[in-house]
Formats: sequence, structure tokens, C-alpha cells
Amino acid sequence: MSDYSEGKGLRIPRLRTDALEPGDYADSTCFPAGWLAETNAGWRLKRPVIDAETCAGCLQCYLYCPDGAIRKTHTDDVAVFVDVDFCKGCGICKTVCAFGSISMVDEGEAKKTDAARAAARGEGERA
Amino acid sequence: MSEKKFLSGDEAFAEGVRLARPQVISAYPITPQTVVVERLSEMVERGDLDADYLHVESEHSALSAAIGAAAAGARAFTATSSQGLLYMAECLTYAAGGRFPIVMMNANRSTCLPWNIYGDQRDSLSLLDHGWIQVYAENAQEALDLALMAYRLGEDARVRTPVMVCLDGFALTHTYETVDVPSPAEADAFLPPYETSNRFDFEHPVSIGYTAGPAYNRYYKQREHLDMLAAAQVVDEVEGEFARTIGRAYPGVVDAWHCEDAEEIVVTLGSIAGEVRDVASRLRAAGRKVGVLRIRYLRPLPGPEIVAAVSGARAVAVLEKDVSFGAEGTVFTNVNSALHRAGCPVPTRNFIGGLGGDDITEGQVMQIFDALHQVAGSDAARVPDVTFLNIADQGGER
Amino acid sequence: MIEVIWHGRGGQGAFTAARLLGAAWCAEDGRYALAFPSFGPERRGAPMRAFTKLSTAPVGDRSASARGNVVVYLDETLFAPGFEAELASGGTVLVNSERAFDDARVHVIDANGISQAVLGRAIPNTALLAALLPLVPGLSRESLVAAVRSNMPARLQDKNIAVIDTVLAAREGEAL
Repeated sequence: MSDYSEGKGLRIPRLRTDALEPGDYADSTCFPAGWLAETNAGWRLKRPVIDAETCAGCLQCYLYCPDGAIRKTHTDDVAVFVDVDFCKGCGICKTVCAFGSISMVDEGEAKKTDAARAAARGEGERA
Repeated sequence: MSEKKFLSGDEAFAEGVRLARPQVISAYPITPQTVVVERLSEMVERGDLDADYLHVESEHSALSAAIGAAAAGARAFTATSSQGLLYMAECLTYAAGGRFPIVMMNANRSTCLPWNIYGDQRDSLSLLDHGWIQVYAENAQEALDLALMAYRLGEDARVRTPVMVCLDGFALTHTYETVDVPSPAEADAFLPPYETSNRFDFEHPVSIGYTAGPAYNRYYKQREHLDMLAAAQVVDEVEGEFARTIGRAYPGVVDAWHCEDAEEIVVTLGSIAGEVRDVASRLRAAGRKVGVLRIRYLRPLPGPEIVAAVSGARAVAVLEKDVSFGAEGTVFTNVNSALHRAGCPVPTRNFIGGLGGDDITEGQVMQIFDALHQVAGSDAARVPDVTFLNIADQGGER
Repeated sequence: MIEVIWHGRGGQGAFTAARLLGAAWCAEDGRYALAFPSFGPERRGAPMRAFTKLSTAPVGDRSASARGNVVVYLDETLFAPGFEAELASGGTVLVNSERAFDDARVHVIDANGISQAVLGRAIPNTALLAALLPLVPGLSRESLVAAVRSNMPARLQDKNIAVIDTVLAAREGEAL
């Protein structure tokens, strides 16, 4: 989960956890956008991490990401962030980054960092 | 105030579409549908109809564009015929499965080979299973009125299904007759603007036209089926509202003529029904108890209505302009299924005529009634299950 | 039912005449008509037929008429021996011709001459339509004119009404 969705009006797809009855969806092939049937990140071994200090905001990673997993933040501090629910860890973003601003870090290590950050916010159980 | 005009079926249908105020029309011309789209493009050009008219490069694109328009929440219209309809076939299921209530006029025309531009019903009848409501007009007035009623029916929240209105090629599309054209105010009173949540735009982002795998697919297909079945009831409501606002009454999914006491009944569909009734009324005048059942809506299949109309008869013929090669006429199969499900034992026979525009004469219709008389009597075995009209040699035993 | 069979060549306006006749007949409530051409590809100058069926009840039979109560020939070269096969008993024939035929069933009118004089072109259809007036009971000049007004392009209406009036005036002269 990224920090950039909150309060920004961004529509970041989220895993839908409440149960659906066929009557909730089968009346057309039209459903409110922004829900994932399942996340798509389980096979990622490396995770791209963007260095906000050196990122120039050129959007090359955003354009090249084959899964559309790099999104604009619409904020001033950094141009883009990685939607880790979608990212498969292929590393194309790191390859195309002309500024060396993306590093691929070990997913296990990154998860520990996530957990520590969540704990600091009091969300330890859910992380 | 409505206006009396002398119009062909194609022209009358175009008037009906104009009154329905579609926002997008996408079409590719094909005989005998061409006049409809010519008239509509002229209406758009003159400003009589505020619509985007897309002259696309093929029928496949025509329906694809209509689907896109419907997915954006627009009321959409297209029209085609014969090979054009077959070329659209892939898109038919997209429109039906996506629950986009597009209205299409199909000018019923033969399918090749041999190449033939004349009327029969093999084109639409071969595509009964693609999720479209199918209704067959008898005359130009009904064609015009169906253009309006099709939108009201298809867009009903309980139905949300595309509607194919079929007009017999030439016999209906190119024949001129007197038609009462409602005023725009009358049409507007009957048909409100299209409103739906089944649409996308920047303010209401949705996922539309998506995948549904084995775990979910059956629910969609069952809903399509049940909603189409429910459309039969909605037809009655729509026609009631049409009679109230426009002042013309229609009889529901079937049109039964003197079936209540008839011993021999011809079941048919489309513009030939008028001629069959003409012959039947002469036979009635001569004391024969005959009836005519015109199927108006073939999807949803009006099973209970067919059974109710013919269950008292001693013999039933199905007269249709198509054949499912290696089986029998498609309408015959459908009628037999309805009768079998209801446990109705009336003997039935199939008469296939009018193929490739061949004229079905009053004499042939008389022969059908005479054959039914044999079936009802002691000579049933002498009348084959399937008879091709106007051919001396009926082929082998099987 | 009155059935009218029209013989013409592509471009002579046979089908337009068939349509105008149907529209004129239906000017009164309780009347029904079908008008249609012989279906299929069209070519200028090729022989073609058109049909008008007039009735006081809805017309169910959309088939081409086998026999006409009136058979109209817009082109004299199409009027040939054996025409009786297409004529209902008691029926009449109307031919666009300058000459007379020794047959009481055959009426003639020089529709080419009249249309050439009035329209400046030999488009004989409305002249023949006007000549049908005494042959089809229940038609009036007013209904023909109304049919022209509501079914022909605006630029052609006045001239074709002039054709109709020229024919009717000439017929009145003959009757006197």
C-alpha cells in the first residue's frame, strides 16, 4: 500500500474483501472501477524503490511499466510511486531510469520495512 | 398531431427511428436495408435528427461502434441484412452480454451461396441464440411502431437487452403503404430519454466489458436468460403504454386470428401473415374452421402463448422462410419444443417457402390448409413432416 | 380490390406513378393500398414492372399481381400480342401511344407528347396517372394533386400538376 492515495483523490485499485452475491454483479459487465479480485504481487522477489531526492519526474518508468503499476502521485514531493499490489518486480523501471533513482531491493527486506512503518502508525496487526 | 404518409417499410422504419431520437447511428449499407440508412443520414444532414451518424467501413464496425456508444450511455441504432448480419455475429454477443439495449433493424434477406439479394428469413433465424430479442413486423405501420417500442422494451431496467426488429426484404422494406407517423410530442410522451448505470465516463469510472471465468460466468448467462424471459411480460406493458400515448394497440408476443375455435392453424411470422389470413378468411367464409397464429416475438420464445393458441386445434402447420439444413425449419423446432414441453399432442407439419425471394402464392397457402385437413383427418401419414413449397420432388424418405 | 400493373422502362417513372396512385387512393379514410416495383437490380432503359393494389380492406397479399384490372404501358414497345394473359376479365389497358388500337379494351394517350410539351422532357408517368382517372373509380383530380404534393420533390410538383390538368382538360374536351 502506498502512502500517496490518502487524501489525494487518487483511485488506487484495492482488494475487495466483502463477499459479492451474483445479483450484485451479474446484471451487466459493468462494475465500479477501483477493485481488485485479487492482488498480483505474490511472485515478486525484488521491489523497486524510488529515491525521491534524485527522481527528476521524467515519467519514463511510468510510461514503460508493462503492468501500469507505477502511478503519478499528483504531489510536489515526488512524481511517481509504485503500486505494490500490482508490481511484479520485473525491474524495467530501474533499467529505463536515466537518473539511477530506482533501486531493486529484496522483497523480504522491504516487507520488514513495511511492517516497521505500519507498527509506527499503530497498524502492526494488519501489516 | 400524427401525419398520414405513403411510405415503404424502410422509410417507415426510418421515421420511427427519427422519433426515437437515437444519439448515435452507425451503419453500413446493404440491400434491402439501404433505404433506412439513407433516409436517416438525410435526416441528420437536414437537422431533423440530432444524432452522430457514423458511416463505418463494415457491419462488424457498425455494431462495434453502436456498442461503444451504448457503453458511453447513448441511445444507439444500427441496421443491416443478410451477410451483413452474419458479419456482425461476433458483435451480437458483445451487445447482448454487455446488456447494451441497442436497436437494430434487420432487413430479412437470403444468405449466400448462391448469391441472392431477395427476402427470406435465414439470416436472423440462424442467429436466434445470440441474446437479442427478435421481433418480426407484418407491415410498414407495425415496423414504424416497433422502432419506438423496441427502445422502450430493450431499455427497461428489467430487460436491458438489445432488440432486433426484422422486416421482410422487399415484400416489406420496398413496398409502399399508408402509415400513420406520430408527432415528435406523441413519441416523446411514449419514449423517455435513455438513462442507465451501465455506462462509463470520467466522472463515473467503471470497469466495463470485462472477463468472467468459470466461477462467475454462469450467473451472467442465467441472468441474460431470465431477463429475456421477463421481457415477454414487459412487451405487454410497453404495448399498453403505446396504445395509451400513441393510440394504436398491439396484441402481445403473438397475434392469434380466429384460433380459439380453429381446427387447423397455420403458424407463421412476418409479412406473409397477411396473405395467410386473406386465404384463411375465405376458407372461414366457406365454413372451414381455420386460424392463423402470427409469431411476433420469437425471442423470448412465446411458448405459453403458442400453446394457448393452438392446443385446441387438430393440426398445425408452421410456414417459414428458412431451413436449418439437416434438421427442419427453425421456427418449426421452436414451436414443437413449446408444444412438447406443455404436453400438447397436436400433430404439426413444416412448410418451407419463400426461399431466396420465391413468391409464396395464395394457391400454396391453400395447399397448406388442405394438407392440414389431411393431417387432421385419416390421411396424416401422406403429409411429410417437412415440405418445400413450389418443388415437385420432395427428396428421399428420411 | 383493383390491381394495376405498370409496364415501363427504367427512368420513365413507372414506379413513381404506381406510388402516386396508391397515395391518391388512400387520401380517403378506410382505403388501403400497396405499391411496389418488381424487386431487384435496376437499370435505366431496362423493362420493369410496378404494381398498385387498391382496396377498402387491408391488403394481405404482397405478391406481384398476376392479372391487372388495369394494365398500363409507359412504353409502347412493351405492349405486345398476348397482353390479355395479364388482363383480368373486364379489365382495361392504357398505352402511351400516338396511335389508336382497334380494341375496345385498349385506351391510348400521347403521354410522351404531353409531358414533352409541359415538362420539356418525355417523362410520361403523371400523364398516364391522370389518364387513369376515368378507369379507376373513386379517384379524383384533388387526390392526385395531393399525392403529387406530398410525394414528389418540390421542384417537380407544379409542372406535374400542370401535366395532370392538361390531360384532364383534353379528356373533358373529348367528352364534350
